[in-house]
Amino acid sequence: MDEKKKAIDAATFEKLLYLSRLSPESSNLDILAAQVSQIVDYLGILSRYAGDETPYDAYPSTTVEQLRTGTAVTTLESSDLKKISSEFMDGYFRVPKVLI
Amino acid sequence: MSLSDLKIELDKGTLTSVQIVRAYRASFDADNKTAQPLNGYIEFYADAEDEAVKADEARAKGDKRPLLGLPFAAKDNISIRGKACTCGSRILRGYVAPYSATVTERLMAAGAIPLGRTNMDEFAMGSSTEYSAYGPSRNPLDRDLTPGGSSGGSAAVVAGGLAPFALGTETGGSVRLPASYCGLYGFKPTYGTLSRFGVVAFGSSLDQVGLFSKKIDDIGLVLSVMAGKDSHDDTSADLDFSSLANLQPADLKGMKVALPAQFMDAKGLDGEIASIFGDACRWFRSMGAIVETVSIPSLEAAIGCYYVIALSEAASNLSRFDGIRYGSRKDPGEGFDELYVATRSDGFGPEVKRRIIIGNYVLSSHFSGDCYKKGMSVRSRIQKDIGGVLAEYDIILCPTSPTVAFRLGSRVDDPLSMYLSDFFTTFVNLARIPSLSVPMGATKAGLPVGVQICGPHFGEEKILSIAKAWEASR
Repeated sequence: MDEKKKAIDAATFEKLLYLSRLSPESSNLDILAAQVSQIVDYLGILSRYAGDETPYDAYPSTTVEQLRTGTAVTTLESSDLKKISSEFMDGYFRVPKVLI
Repeated sequence: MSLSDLKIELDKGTLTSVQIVRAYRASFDADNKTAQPLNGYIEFYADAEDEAVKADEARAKGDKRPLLGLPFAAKDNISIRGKACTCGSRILRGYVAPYSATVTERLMAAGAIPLGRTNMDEFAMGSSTEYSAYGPSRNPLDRDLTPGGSSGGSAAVVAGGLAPFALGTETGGSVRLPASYCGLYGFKPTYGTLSRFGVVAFGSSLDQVGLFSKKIDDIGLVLSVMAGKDSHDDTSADLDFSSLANLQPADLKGMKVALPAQFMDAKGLDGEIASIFGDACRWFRSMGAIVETVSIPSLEAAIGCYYVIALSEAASNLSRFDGIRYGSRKDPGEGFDELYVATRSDGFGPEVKRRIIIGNYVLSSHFSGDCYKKGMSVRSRIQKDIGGVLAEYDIILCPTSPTVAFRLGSRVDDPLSMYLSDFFTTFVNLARIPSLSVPMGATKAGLPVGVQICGPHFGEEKILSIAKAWEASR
């Protein structure tokens, strides 16, 4: 993974707006871009404390979080799925209520 | 009056639910006629009095439900079936909740009456309510000041005498901060104590419903009704919280209290707050507790870590607001993508846009490298460090905020400064532990100062019992 962050220049900011489904015309772009850059710079503090810790081993544990002891079974073949989804309703494939 | 006081009067028959609801309605109407209304309620429900009539009738027939006829207010991001739920945003204009959140459903099943929905920073993103589409709420103690945020409306109505208790939500301190600014108890339970079903998501791994009250027994009583397993939320805990309805003051003798050095030495910690916090430490010692300073270096990265995770989750959660499924729509008639962009650009306010953009930046490894991974790694480290401290100590004690309530308008154009208001609170959400802000003093200017008691996972009773001991000593 690329360790080096890309600076938030005008082209990058335009792409971020597209990813966010926001219009460039809806805000004062110069101010917004400067604020975003300032905040992103602040996030650099993480580099001083990040390590090898995995994020999934420090959650509170309760009895409900114990994994069930079920057995994995294979799913339906696509050819079988096609057979049961050949019905149409309102112009769309009708989804079977239960797949066993 | 507090919730517990009202319950006593209702049980004695010296007050009726109708009288209580009418009194709150009258206070709300009177406040709206002042030069600077609190603006705590976005909507005061017109049918609250009808519900009070039903409650009085049920009581006359012998109904003994624990919250029968007692009113409450709820933040505008907690669903109540048939009521508007807009998250303080223009984009949800016209959206009516089709079902109730589990927390409000349980309150109403216990007989409680919703009075209204309260103001908030848009989608709970802010620390002052200044980012609400409905304008800012004001602090009842000084109306030129913020009540804090994002649950500032809930804090304002309880502190201003417009509701006996209120629900808020927390992602990084949005209950404790306004509680501290308004002189209230503000409780953020352990992640999982309360169901999040029906609460509009901001940062799903951090969000939790919280409570505001004037007395500690009120929090215990309400939690005992709302908490516990909910089949609609797999992160809810299958534990029994019924004992919270009958809190006893804790015996502090021999209790070990940790003070994080990183907070005591923090830049920007107000001198008067440090002094009041010192008084709180002396009280713990006077009660026989052992108070020691500990070092938790990772706390310095808590704000950065919090914003990486919260904003990534927010960018994802808020992608559902597209003009198709919820609330308002702006359609330029050019296609789906144009509809999404037009609706979101028109509907979201500046802070929400800022956070979505940063969230998408963080989520894109192309732009941000391994920023998200670092955030998750730091979160894990904070969780382990806090867990280690709480294995050796009973509680962590620290101020709730580095400053008292600030002037409206003073930070609204400086988002980073606003974010740093949460310096003392975000570690609690990252570590998923419970924390209570207790009003432990006031500055010379009369502004309240909160001190937070943070405990281990599902240590709700321990924290509330300590606060009960504090309350009893006043």
